[in-house]
Amino acid sequence: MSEFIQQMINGITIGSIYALVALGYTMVYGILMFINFAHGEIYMSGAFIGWILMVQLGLDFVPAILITIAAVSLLGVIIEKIAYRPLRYVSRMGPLISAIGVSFFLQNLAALFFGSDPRPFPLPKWLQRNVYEIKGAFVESLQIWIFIFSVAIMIGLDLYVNHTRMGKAMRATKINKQAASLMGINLDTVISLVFAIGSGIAAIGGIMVGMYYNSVFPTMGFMPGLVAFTAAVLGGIGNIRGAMIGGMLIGILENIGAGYISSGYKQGIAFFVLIFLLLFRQEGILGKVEREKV
Amino acid sequence: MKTAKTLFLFFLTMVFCLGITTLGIAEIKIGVIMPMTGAIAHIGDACVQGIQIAVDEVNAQGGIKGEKVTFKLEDSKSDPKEAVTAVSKLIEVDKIKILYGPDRSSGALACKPIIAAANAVTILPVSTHPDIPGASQGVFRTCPGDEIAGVVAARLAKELNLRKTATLYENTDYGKGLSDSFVNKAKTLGISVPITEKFTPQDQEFRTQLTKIKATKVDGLWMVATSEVPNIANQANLLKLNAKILANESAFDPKFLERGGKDMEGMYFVSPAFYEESPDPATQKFIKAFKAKFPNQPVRMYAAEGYEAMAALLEAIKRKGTDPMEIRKGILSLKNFPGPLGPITILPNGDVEKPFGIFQVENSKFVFKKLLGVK
Repeated sequence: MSEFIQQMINGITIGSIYALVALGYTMVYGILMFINFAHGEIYMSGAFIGWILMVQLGLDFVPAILITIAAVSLLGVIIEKIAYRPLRYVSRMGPLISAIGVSFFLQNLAALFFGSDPRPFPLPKWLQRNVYEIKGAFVESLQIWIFIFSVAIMIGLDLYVNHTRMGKAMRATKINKQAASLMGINLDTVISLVFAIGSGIAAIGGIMVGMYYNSVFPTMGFMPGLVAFTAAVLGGIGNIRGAMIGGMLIGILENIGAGYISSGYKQGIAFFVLIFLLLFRQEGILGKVEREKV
Repeated sequence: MKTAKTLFLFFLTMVFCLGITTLGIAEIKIGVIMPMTGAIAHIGDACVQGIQIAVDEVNAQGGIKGEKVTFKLEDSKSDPKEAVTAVSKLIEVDKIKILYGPDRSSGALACKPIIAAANAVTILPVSTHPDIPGASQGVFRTCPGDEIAGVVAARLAKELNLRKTATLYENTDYGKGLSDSFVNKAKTLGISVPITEKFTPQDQEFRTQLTKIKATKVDGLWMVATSEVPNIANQANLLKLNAKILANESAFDPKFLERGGKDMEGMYFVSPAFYEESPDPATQKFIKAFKAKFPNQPVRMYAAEGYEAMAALLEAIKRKGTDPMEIRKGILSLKNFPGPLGPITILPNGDVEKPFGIFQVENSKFVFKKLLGVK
C-alpha cells in the first residue's frame, strides 16, 4: 500500500508541473488552432532566467520569481509577434514550422550561453528539504509546495478566465474570432495576453522543476513539452480545466504505469496515451466533439 | 600583363613549395573518434587530454622511427550513429586505418564489422561491453570489461555483508551488461537480487524505480549511471532507501561529486585503479606530465585511461610498424606494459587483464580503499 501511495505522491507532483505547462499549449490552441511547439523551450527559459537571478546573482526568491515571470511573459509575446503573427493568415503550416524553428533556436541559444551540462539549482534558504512520512510513504516539503503553488495558479487562472472581462474576451475569441472582433475585441491584444499568461505560468513550472531535480540544462524542455502537449490533448485541447486534469492524470499514469508494469516504459506511457487518443477520442476527456456543419 | 604573370608564377611557386614541405615530413596519422559533445563529453575531453600527453611524449623522443605522430579528431557526439559515420569517414575519405575509439559500447559494437572489413585496427580506452574485443577483427581495448566490473561489484557486496541487493541501470547495452554480470555473480555468492530496475539515460525522475526497490527491503544497490547519479543519490536519500550504493566507473568524476554533494557520501565506486596518491611510478609519471601540460585542471581517471590506450597503440606501432594488420600483432604482444592504471596485459582475444580499484566517497572526495579482482 505504501508503494502505491508513494507512486501517487510522485505522480501528483510531476503531474502538477505537466498541468502548468499544458495550460500554455491549450490556451494558445483554443484561440489560434495552433500548437506552439516552442512552449517547452519557454519553460526552459523560465528555469534558466530564474537560475541566473537566484544562483548567479543571488537574488531573493520572491523578486527573482516576479522578474522571471515578467521576462518570460514578455519573451512569449515577442516570439508571437515576430515568429507567429506574420504567418497567422498566410498559411496553416507556417506558424507550426516557425514554432519548431523557434524551439531549436532557443535550445541552441541556451547551449551557447550556458553549455549543455546540467547546472545545479540549489533551493532558497527558506525551503528546506524536509521529509514527512504518511503510511510508510514519504512526502518531501518541495513536493507539497509544488502541488500547492500549481493548484493556486490553476484556480487563479480559472477565476480569471471565467470571471473577468478580459477572460470573457478570451472565451469569446475562442468561440469565434471574427464575431469577437466585430464586438470590438482587439484580437491582437487578446492573443498577446494569452501568450503572456501561458508563458509566465510555464516559467514558474520551469523554476520548480529546476529546483526539484536540482538541474537546469538547455534541452530540459523537450520531453516535458511533449508530455505536457499530450496532457493538453488528453484533457481536451483548448479546454483549460481539461489541461489541468490531463496534466495530473498523465503524471499519475506515468508513475503508476512505471511502478506496476515496467520502469523501462515510463517515457513511453504518455505517448501510448497520445496514440490512443488520436485513434479513438481526439477530443480528449472534456473536449466537445466538433462536427462540421455544412 | 607582366605583373599579373609574375604574380601568378609567384603564387604557383608558393603552392609548390608548400606542397613539397608537407610531402617531405612523413607523419603517422591516427584517427581518433571521441565524444567531444553530448552526454559523455566529459569522457571525451579527458581522453583527448590523455591522448595529447601520449602523443607529445613519443614525439619528444623524435617520433616513431623519425616520423611524427599526429591524430585527426572526429566528434562522435556521444551518439553511436555518429561514431559509425566518423569511423567510416576516417577509413574511406581520409584513408586512415589506424584508429582510436569510438567511445561507448554501442558505438564500438557497431563499428566492429566496419573495422574488420577494412583490415584496420583500433584500440578502445573506455568501451567495456563483453562482446567488444575481437583480435581477429582488429578491435582491442585497455579497459577491463563489464563482465569483470559487475563481478567485482558483486564480490564487494559480499565483502560488505550485503544480503539483498537490487540493480538500477541505464537502459543501454552497457547498463544491461553491467547489471547482468552483477546479478549472475551475486547469486553464486549467496546474495539475493529481488529486483532490477532501469531508466532512460538522462532522465531525472527516479522515485518510481527507487520506490519499487525500497519495497523489496534491499540493503545494497548496484547503480550503473552517469549524469543521473547525483539525482539518484538525492532521491534515494529523500525516500530513505537506506541501502549501501555501489556505483560503476561512469560517474567516477569530481564534477558529479560537486553536484551530488552530501547525498553521495559513503557511496562506493568500482573503477579502474587510478588515484593521485598511488605509489606506482607509471602513475606518478603520468600525473607529472598531466600537471605540466594542463596546470589548473583536475587529473581525471578518464585522462589516464585515454593516455594508456594511446600509449599502448603507439608502443605497438613502435614494435611492428604502421601496417594495421601488423599493429594488431603488436598490440597482442603487450604483456605487463606499464601504465598509470596498472600493468597492461592484452589477452589473445583482444581483451585486457587488470584489477579494479574500490573507492569510497568521504568528505566529498574519492578515497582509495583497495584493489579487487575477479578471484
